Amino acid sequence: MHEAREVQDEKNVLAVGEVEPEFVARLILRSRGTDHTESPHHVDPEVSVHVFRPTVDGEDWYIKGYFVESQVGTATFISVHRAE
Amino acid sequence: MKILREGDRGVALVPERGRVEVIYQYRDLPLEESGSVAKGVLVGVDPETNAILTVPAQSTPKLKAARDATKEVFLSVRLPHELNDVLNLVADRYDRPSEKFAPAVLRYYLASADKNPALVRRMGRLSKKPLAKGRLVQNLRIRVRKELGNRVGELAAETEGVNKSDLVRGAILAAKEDILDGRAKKRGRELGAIAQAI
Repeated sequence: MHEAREVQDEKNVLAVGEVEPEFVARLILRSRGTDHTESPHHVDPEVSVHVFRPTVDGEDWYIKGYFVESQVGTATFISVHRAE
Repeated sequence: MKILREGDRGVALVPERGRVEVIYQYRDLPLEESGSVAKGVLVGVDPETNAILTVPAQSTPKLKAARDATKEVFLSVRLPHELNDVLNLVADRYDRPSEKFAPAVLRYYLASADKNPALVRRMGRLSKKPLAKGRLVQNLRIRVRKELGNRVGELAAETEGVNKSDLVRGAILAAKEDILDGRAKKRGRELGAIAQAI
């Protein structure tokens, strides 16, 4: 699932299909402990936001993900950006 | 992979409102940077505000396709010196630098050829003229929208004895007739407007 606000942000390269989920999984697997942070979501502090900032093959990445539980199920939100 | 259906419900986090239930609907979704619009994409909509709040993963292929459609490709054509001279003369008629105006002239003719079979046949016919048949010594590369590049290929395939390069050479000779020989005043004015915009 990806956040959207009436328009789709194309910098979220996972949402627009520029990278595949398997690639993102590899980025996360190659993240070191120091590349990961966890903090409460600013909208709902009960939701933990995980941010990974790995450098892979000389390229810096920013990956943000969180899970939102609700009566209709669990939604997984993820956005993947090339860090500038 | 779970495939969501229209009418399914989900959740989003919205500033100042917290958790908001969304209902999945098929909508057109604009892409921010490319300015294109992905049509008929499943999105999560806030039933209260009608705003799009989420996009499920199953919608990614449509977003990708809409984005890819805006990409540009290059049309590469080898030209004889004489056709290059024609492009320079056409640009000079409008007092514009050839390196900027010549591609615009060609894009104009190639785009005009779409849905204009008579122009396609004319370009095909002109591509067989002696001026288009000189030694192919210069390489012309023009950037076109991917859709136009594909369409030129389709038009060539539909026209007997003509390939994409022939259509481009024919377009140059059509510009010679219309502009330099004054045979198409309306096209001349349309290209004049394009020249002003460059």
